Amino acid sequence: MSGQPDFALGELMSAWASGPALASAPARWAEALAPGGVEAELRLIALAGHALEVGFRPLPSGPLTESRPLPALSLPFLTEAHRLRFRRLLKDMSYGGDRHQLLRFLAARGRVAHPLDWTPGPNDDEIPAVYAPWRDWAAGHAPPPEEALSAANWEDWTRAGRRTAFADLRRAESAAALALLEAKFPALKAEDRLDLADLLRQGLSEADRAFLTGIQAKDRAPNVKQLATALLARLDMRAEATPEAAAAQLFEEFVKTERKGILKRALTLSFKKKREEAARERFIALIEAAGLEALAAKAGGSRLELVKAWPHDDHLYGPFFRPLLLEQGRPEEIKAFLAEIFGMDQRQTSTHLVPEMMERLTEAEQFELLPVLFQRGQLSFDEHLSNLGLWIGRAPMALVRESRLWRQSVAMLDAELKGQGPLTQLPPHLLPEHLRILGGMFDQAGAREALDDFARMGLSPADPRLDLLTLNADLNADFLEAHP
Amino acid sequence: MAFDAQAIQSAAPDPASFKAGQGLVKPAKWPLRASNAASGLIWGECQGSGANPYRVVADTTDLGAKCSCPSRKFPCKHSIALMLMKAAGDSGFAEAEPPDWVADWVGRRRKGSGGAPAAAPQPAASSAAISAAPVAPAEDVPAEPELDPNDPKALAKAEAAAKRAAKLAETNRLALEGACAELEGWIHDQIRGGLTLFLDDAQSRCRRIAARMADAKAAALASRIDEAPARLMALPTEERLEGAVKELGKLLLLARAWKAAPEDPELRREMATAETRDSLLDSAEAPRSSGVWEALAVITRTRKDGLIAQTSWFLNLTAEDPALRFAALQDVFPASAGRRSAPFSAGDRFQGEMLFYPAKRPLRAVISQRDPKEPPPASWPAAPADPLTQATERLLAAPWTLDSPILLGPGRYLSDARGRVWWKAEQGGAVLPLSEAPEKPLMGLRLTAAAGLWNGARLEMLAAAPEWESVS
Repeated sequence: MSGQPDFALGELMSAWASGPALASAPARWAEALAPGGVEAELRLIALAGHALEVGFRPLPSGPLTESRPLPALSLPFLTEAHRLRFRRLLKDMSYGGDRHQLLRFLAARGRVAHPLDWTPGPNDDEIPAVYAPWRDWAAGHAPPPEEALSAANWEDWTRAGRRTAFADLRRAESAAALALLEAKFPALKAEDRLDLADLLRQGLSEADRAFLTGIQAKDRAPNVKQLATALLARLDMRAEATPEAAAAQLFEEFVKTERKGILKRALTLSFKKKREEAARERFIALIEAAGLEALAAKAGGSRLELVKAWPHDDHLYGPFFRPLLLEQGRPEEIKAFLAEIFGMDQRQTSTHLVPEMMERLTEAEQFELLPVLFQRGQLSFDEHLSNLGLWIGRAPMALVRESRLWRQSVAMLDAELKGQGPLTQLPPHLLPEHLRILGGMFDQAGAREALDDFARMGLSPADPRLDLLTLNADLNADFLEAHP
Repeated sequence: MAFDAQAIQSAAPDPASFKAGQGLVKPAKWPLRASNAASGLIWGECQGSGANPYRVVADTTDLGAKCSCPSRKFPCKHSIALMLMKAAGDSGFAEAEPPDWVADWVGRRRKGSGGAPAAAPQPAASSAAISAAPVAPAEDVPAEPELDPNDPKALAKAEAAAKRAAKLAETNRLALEGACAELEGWIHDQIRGGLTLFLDDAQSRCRRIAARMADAKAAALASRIDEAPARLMALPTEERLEGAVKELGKLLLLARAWKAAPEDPELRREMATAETRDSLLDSAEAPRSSGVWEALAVITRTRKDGLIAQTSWFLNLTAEDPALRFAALQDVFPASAGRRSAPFSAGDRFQGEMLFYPAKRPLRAVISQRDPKEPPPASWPAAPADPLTQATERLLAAPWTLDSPILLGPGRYLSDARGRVWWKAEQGGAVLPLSEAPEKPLMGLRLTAAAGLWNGARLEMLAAAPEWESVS
């Protein structure tokens, strides 16, 4: 219909693409644009442009699709008043570990971040469990199935959710987990094959040998083959040696045993220095094959004595004791290990598996460890809060006031407020970190008391270094009490 | 420490600063003045050279002060003026609790801890809320001395100055007329050569004519033409031809409208420069709108001419006249001055009055009065069923308009087959394409209300209120 405005405008546009368009305008329009020529062409483009703006609107060329609604979380958001402070804290925390501890703190106080302030990525494994529905949403997946992971519902899980479910299945029913992995393995990406095969370490047994031999021979990815070779080497070690023989071999090759003290009663262990990679692999295989019981017997002490005597601060071999302890340790042994770790110079020990060990203890057992933990200084926010277990955001002031962390914080603050400059033994960047750690440690009453103490010393409550303490003091635990 | 004019004069860095401060002792320049007797703090907002007022805080106990103006002098003339008004017993200071930005300054000041001591000849530590960008001093100056009607010399001098100004205005008008004629010729040249070729070479063609416009004192028009290629290139290829027709058509309409009414303040502003802030503040005709204002967004853009344009968008939640519902505070400063933090963040609210630059559909404004107290609760006004009627009304009144702020009712974001995001109204089914995809979580949320800038082809979201209940 050449008389219709949209058709006429379309004709004009085609003409303007290559030159003047007056000749393409409907006769009625051209007459109205008299006197013609340049003036008419200019009027035509002004009118056409105006008509396009006020008379037409863009329309999608096809159907529009709606995203799945962001799922509900089981905890309420931070209030508007708290969000500003939270965003400021988040902005200051570029390290993912610090951010996750901040989120853990919020979750411990019964709150979650607002989705416009923070949402997890599709493969964010370290976040508090309360955010799992958002992680699934970010990955474009529906909520995970209620039932356990199976071949039938395999595709209904997100990558991260499937990994967790597979680890659970391996712990509960290792044969069923192996069968499932065998069925799904050929269709998986190399990254997922490596990730899930690595979980076979848990409960590794002869039943896994055929599967591992198969992937050692046929898998296309070199790193998956390498993993299968390492796991098979461990099985070989177990097959060749009894736990007692493996323990004897370990002590023969790697460990020196001594009895120290006046009565020569204190068991002391140290490592013979063998630093090549192959020795390290052999060490891991031997310690796994031996197990706690045989190692203690070989050392000539109880399991508890072994835990206390193990050189946990040795960076090369020390940490390989931890998976064994996590798998086979009794609560009192884990507690003894944590007491040893917390009592050591923090620069000599890593926090590897420490949070997992804390999870194995009851709330009361964790509480007993807090005084030792609080004596540690110069730990990062992430390290300190990850060690707190269930006591994140719940530590009472009475306990913290006696700690090295508190004493150092007060001394640094005092020096700053009196204009004395930084204390020589404590670098100035420690104060903001300490104040943040305290902010994530205290219970609400403790946070309030700390803020009062700092205000009395002369620190303004508006000081941004107090952001987490202030957030802590504002976030009451009423919600938790109402929703245990 | 005494708090009187003499003490303030002693604290001033030089006599010129003190005199400039005295020149700013004018309540009309201060939309906000407040104090807190318990802490001895006073604070206020002063209309400076930018659209956003400068934030000034001072401690009356030690004459320490801080201002968000770019002056390197300490205390600056704004701080001096604020202190002078308080010392003179000005009753315009409302008693209030210090707001966050004042508390923040107090916190960062850390008396006696190595922070800037009171009245020291250096600026205090910078803060997020009060920036101290190292740029040239602000352009506002002390007020002209009042004319003595009995002084013939002064009268003659004033008359000569008026004649000079009239002559200059006429010269400028003639230059602008020449610029309009040249622009029309240029538009026709683009049409004659075909708009496909124009689009291929838009950057340099627009740059050349923009330079000619700048030579002819049409500074605003030059800037607008200089930015046109960026607006066109932001469109998908298939929409650029239509975009070019709209751009050229609007330029022609603007030039013709100015020729028809060269004294019209809005058209003069669109072509050359805006009237001075002082003349706006003194104007009785300038439209005003009071109510609860909410900051929607601060949009900062680097212009082709090297300047940074910062626009703070506000929505009057309680406006009686929908035509004065939106307000834009515009600031322009050199890129070399670094990033300047806006005094308002999205979501900030205050009760007060905006004074608008006169226009057929007023939008550009300054804050003329601000209540330091918390504003009363207010919710967003209802949006028209067809959100584009707001833009259409503005375009019918001022067809050269580039961006129209519009209020949107309940809706949500949807994607098309190409992955482009659209806003869709819950009622009526209106759909508008977005210039940028929103943050991912917003794609999964229902929006109870929103506000955006419609440029004739795309919607740039200024603020969106998701329905929180759906995710908690």
